[in-house]
Amino acid sequence: MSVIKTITKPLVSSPERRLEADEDLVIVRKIQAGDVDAFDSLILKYRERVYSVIYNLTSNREDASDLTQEAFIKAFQSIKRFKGQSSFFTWLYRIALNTSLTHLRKYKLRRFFSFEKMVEEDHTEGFIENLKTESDSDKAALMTELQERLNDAFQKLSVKHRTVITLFEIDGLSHKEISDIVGTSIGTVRSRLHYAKQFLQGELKDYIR
Amino acid sequence: MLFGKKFSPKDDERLSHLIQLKRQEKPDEAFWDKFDEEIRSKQLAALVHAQSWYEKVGKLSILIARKSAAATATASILALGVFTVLQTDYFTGAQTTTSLTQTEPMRPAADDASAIDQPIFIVNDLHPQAEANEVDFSYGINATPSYEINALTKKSIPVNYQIIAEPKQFTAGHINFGTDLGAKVIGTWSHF
Amino acid sequence: MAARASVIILATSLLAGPQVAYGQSRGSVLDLQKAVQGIYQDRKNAVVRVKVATETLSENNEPKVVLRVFSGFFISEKGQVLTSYLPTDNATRVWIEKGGISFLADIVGSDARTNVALLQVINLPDSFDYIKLIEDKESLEIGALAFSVTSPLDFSPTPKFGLVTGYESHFAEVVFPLTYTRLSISIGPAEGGSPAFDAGNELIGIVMATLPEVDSSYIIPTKALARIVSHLTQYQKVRYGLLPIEFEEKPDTYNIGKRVLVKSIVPGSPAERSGLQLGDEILNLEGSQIADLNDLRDSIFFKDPGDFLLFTIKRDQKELEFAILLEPEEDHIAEGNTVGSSNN
Repeated sequence: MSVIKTITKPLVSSPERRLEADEDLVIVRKIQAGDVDAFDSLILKYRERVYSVIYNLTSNREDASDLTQEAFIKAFQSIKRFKGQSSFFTWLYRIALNTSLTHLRKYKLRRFFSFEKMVEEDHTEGFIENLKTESDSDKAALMTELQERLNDAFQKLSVKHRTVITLFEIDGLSHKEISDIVGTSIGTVRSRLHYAKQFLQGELKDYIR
Repeated sequence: MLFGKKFSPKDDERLSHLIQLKRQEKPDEAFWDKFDEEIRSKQLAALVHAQSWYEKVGKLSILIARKSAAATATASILALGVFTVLQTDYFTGAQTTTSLTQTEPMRPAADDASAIDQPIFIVNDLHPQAEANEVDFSYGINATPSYEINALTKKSIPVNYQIIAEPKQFTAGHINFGTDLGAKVIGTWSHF
Repeated sequence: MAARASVIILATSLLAGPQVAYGQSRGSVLDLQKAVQGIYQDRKNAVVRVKVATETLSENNEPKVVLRVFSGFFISEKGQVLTSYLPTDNATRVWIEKGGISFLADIVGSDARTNVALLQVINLPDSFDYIKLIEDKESLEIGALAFSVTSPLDFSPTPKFGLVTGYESHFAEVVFPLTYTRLSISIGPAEGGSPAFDAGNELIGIVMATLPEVDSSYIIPTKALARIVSHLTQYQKVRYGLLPIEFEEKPDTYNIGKRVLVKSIVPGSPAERSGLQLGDEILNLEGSQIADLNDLRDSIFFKDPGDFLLFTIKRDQKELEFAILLEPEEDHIAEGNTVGSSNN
């Protein structure tokens, strides 16, 4: 059911997601039965992912922090209504998405950005190697420039497009998962992704040669 | 017109890698410690306080979002609307569109058997924006409405009429007019 | 629908038959009532309330929210709404209210000169009608019936009717960008932005100002509105052109009509290079006769910057033609160019 991506591996593959969903349902039932502390384990499990979605949509880490908390609290308050028809993860992502969209609409005209610093890990090594410069310090500077250009380009995308590209590339969700969360058809997800990629391609062509 | 072009799989791959760099934009330990603290206290607050609908505006929007509660939703939005209108001086007891008989608090839906199957923030249509958001934006506006109209008048308007009485200035871009016919015309500039 | 059909039939009988005179049979008055009710029923689902919340600073520099209320109407099935107000640069939230429910909207564009704004409703109401803008809608004769459906204060859509009472290009010192239609329909708070119709239920304009002392109002005619909407959709604003020429109006030889003459031309402009001279009398612009300054202004309103306008002029008893470039207004505003004095 999940679309096989030829370019990059998703963070988690589909059977793992199903397992995850089952585990989550057990925890949700416990909470619904009155064990409110059990919600903490869900927070711990998903907080980074939820934060990542919201941060990439809003590009502001302070807002993202508040909104992530807000999303979890909303989920907490309506946990009794969760029936298990979708996975908890999808449900939570939807709440996170709606929370972000509401925020973006409200503060449409007052956007300012506040980015996270990049954590240097192994995967970035390969990329940095390919950056065409001489010295290491230049490379670091180029990385920063890259991050800025990337975030610039990201912000130029409409919220709809930024959403799908974030969920696909950064969170590694499948087209089907994205269509469940966002609430449009898979076809729409695909075409939005295509448009977003072409746009970013154009914006970032100097860095992708 | 870049958008019509196809790009090669190699480019696509490089683009993906580039975007995935954003995965590295992560907060540190200290951030998550603070996060844990903050969310804990919010959770506690959510549990401990009884939430009447008029206290927790967030709750109001949740209630309004439920499709099954359409009729009461309308009434509650109007309750807010009438409240602000009555504050204007000259407005005396006008009717609003639907009869607004009840302003009693809506009961929280937590144990309501008619709760919809889907979680409340989802709508079954093609738009990703949930219906909840449609009314989120208006309840927070706490200002007296100003019923405006451009008025062209040679007299001053009495205060209690309460319309915005400034005549709007227009110039015709390239032609300006004097007060009598046969006046000269200005050729070229506009005031805007 | 049955209601609309009856309006058209009755309207035709009103217009086609003998002139409705005072003392006519009671039947005509009831026909008029049916026309009002028919148009109201037909159009009320297209009329909405528009609310604009703007963040500004109060005198003590504290943030405060100003909430303004207008009327508006749908003009397309995609959910575009036309209204009459001027968006500001401050943080603004705009929404429409229909049937007591609020729907958030984006501002597509606006024009300061005509005070028209175009909105796009984000999530559409389950059901709504829209009003078509007929691009070549001709003006009505004075005395023709005019109808409106407005959204006053916080009331639901409200029917109105009156007459077309005049056509003016200015009001005291306030000059209009083109000739507006005056109606004897009284317009009050929050009714700006309402649609106005003729007896055939076609849109004749959008209400944009009230004349409280004479219980009248001005509407921007549909033909202009169509152009405004087209520009707002494409450019988010209306692109006006400028002619680097000063015109003046003088009475003609017999003191019956007026003549429009070239008073001055900006030196070095394309207009000067085209061969146009001071004192040339403008007879015709692109096929439209120019009898006075208003005609000229009205014609130019519909022309796009960058177009060459074909003028027919009279000089020394000869008729000549000149093509003059209509320059984009932005070019001149930037330079702060002015020609001549303000007025005398």
